[in-house]
Amino acid sequence: MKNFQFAIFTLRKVALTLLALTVTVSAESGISARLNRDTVALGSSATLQLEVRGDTLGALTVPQVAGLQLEQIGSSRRNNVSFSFGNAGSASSRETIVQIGFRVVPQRDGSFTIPPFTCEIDGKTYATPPLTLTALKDSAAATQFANAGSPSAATPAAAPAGQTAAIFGKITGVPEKMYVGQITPATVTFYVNRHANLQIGQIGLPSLKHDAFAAPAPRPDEVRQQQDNAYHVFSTVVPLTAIKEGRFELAAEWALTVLVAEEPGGGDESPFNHPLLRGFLGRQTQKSVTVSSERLGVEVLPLPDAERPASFTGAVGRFDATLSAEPAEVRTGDPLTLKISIKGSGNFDRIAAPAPTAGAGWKTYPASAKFESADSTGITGVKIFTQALIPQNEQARILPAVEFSYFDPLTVKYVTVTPPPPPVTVLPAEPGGALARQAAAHGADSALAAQNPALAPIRLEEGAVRADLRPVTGTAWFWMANGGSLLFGLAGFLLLRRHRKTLDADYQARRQTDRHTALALQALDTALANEDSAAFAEAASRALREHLAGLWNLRAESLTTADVRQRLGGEGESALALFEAADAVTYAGRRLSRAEMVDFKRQVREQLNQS
Amino acid sequence: MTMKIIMKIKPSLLAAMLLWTPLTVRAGDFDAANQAYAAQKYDDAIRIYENLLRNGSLSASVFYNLGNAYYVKGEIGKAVLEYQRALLLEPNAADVTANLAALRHAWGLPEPAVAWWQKPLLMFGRDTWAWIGFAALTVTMLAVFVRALWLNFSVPEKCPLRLLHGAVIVSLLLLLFAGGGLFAQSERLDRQVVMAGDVALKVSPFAEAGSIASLKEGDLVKPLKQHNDFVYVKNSAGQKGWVSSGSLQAVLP
Repeated sequence: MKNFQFAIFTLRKVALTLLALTVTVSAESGISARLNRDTVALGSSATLQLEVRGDTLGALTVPQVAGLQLEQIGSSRRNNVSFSFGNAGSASSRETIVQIGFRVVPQRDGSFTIPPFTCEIDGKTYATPPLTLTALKDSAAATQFANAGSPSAATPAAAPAGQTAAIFGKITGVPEKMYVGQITPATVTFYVNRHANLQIGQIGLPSLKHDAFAAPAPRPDEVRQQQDNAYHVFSTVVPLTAIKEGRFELAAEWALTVLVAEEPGGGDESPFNHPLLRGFLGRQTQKSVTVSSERLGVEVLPLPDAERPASFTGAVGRFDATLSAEPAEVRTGDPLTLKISIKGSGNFDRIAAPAPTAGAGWKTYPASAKFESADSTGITGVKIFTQALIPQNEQARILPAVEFSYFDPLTVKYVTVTPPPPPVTVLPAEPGGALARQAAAHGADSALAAQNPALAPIRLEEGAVRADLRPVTGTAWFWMANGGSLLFGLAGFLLLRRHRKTLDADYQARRQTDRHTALALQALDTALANEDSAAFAEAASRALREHLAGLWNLRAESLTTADVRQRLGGEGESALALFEAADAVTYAGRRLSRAEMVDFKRQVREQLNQS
Repeated sequence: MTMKIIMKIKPSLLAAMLLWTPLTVRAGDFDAANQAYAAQKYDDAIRIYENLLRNGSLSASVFYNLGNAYYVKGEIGKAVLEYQRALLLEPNAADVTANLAALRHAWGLPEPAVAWWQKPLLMFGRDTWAWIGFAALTVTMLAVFVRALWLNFSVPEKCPLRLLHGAVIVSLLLLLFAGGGLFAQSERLDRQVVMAGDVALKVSPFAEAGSIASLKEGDLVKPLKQHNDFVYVKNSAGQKGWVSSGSLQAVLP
């Protein structure tokens, strides 16, 4: 137990000592500055990070250097309050840390010395040591970077000459001269300066748009993103095809949204009123921009007419052609599959099936094509044409020749390739049997049927026949039928409306009856209070009459005792007795005592509640 | 007497014969075309099938068999066109879709893209959706009518409200689906088929204009607008350009 208490005591002492030391270290006042690089290319920038620590901070003096632009790009401020507990008691300290970032942009090449930044802290003046920065011209900087091995392949040496834009783009891989139909992998690259005073929001796809060129839009997954110390790099490779002759300027476009920190206000000179600080506070503006790359001059030449081979169908690039045939041994009338493979790089889209020259004894059929791309742009790969041939007789010993021509833009010449036909043995036909042999016997074109054994057979039942392919929605009678349905609905709506009106009439009549009955009962009470027999009898009779007339949808004035007897039958005896009693008072001059009137009123009420 | 009776019924007999004859001729023609096909006399089969269609005897079977005949002859554009027409009448015909898929595979033609939301709506044809819509509308309107009759001429409390409400809710849902189905099918009706091989997709509607790409025979395109003899189309790969109208044929003539 003693050991445990001792351990706890020791641990507490160690912790408190460490805390006191921490406070001592962190509370040290001062100013420091550092550059993120000591050499920059002319046209690009370095970043200077300044840190000021202390309890009470005074004014900061920013030095001026000729040929060097210091641009404040951001700042942050935080306060630390620390407490220390020692053997001698406890103490607290307060510390403010301000960090300010500057973009340092050299205006000329050469070596620069940045004099000390000074600041009054806790009543004392502190200064940073002087810093040195060297600005090199493009080529020199590029060489230096290369020697340092820092930039990636995608990193530019610098923005284009004279360009200090935060975003710029380039097109590479496009030759100065192209021929109509020629295809080339154009690399579109956009660079975003990481030290620029903006943030990238949503990014679109870089695109090449020009009437004289065809270039499909890249897919989002085809856009590569890289970054190094200086730039975010967005690049994609687009297969660019020249389609119109002439001299053109080609540029790529890139649509994106950027978040730009607002410019500082004119009156506020505080070093903390900085775009980056305001950026932290959310004072940024989102802007949609379309950035264009630098323009690239391209001359598109027409394909030469001279020496154009007859078999040329528009292929431009570099290709090679090979032939293969299956099976190597075939009987007369049996189909044989000839494969023409054209491999290389160029505009495969324009390569049509080479037509085999009419060989003796061979019947040829149209070819089907399949393209297997070797890269993402579809510029290199192999196009395979599959063609059915049928030997018509035993003289068909050599396969028909296949000739393929293309234009080579590098040598500026048409090239004709005639691949050697593979050896094939043609045997005499066997009688009967296979579909293809029957076809040969009939002289019919069944090679393709034989080539597609999986073809579902024809139907033997004609099925439902109609005179018109137009869908039913295109016929008038369909819409008339729909109109008929709508008429039912319309009739229904009209009937519903009628019903509602009827409901309303009944309701109004009931309300009126209730109102009249209430008035009669009121008169009944008044007559009772005045002990006026005649008025009482008249009011009682009227209350009953109004009530019953309302129930039977009749006019109260026209209701007779005969009606009451007829409608109520045996159940109406009490009501009739009340009517007769009232008549006796009204017409026979009978007088009712107060007690009789109270009893009469009770009976009238019962009657009203009953029906 | 007999003559008199015959003279009296003669017009009726004549009319019946006139009505009956095309039917028998038609059935005979269909069989004859099938026999020609079986005997691999495809040209004869095509001629008879086309005659049937010209005479207004349109059926999915005739279109399908004609498509097969064109297919084995290697006339891919025409085969695709006839298969598409067969699908207009029978959208889920297994034999038609199988042969069309086999053709596309063999000739390297792309399958037309179908969005996820279109798939359930394409399980029925346009006519089926139209009839479903009609039935749903009729049930809804009848339910309103019956309810109104009941309120006006019978005891309102005895009206089978639950049944009527259920019928209306189901019918309105069906009506919604039918509308979607008709919309999804409308794209199928607008399509055109490329009838020649290597048709240039041009940048502008002029014969001498440069081409962006080439369309294969049997490709399906969607016409967007027309200028003189050129149609601005979108192919299944999403490329747009001008094509000579002579090289296209509409699925719905």
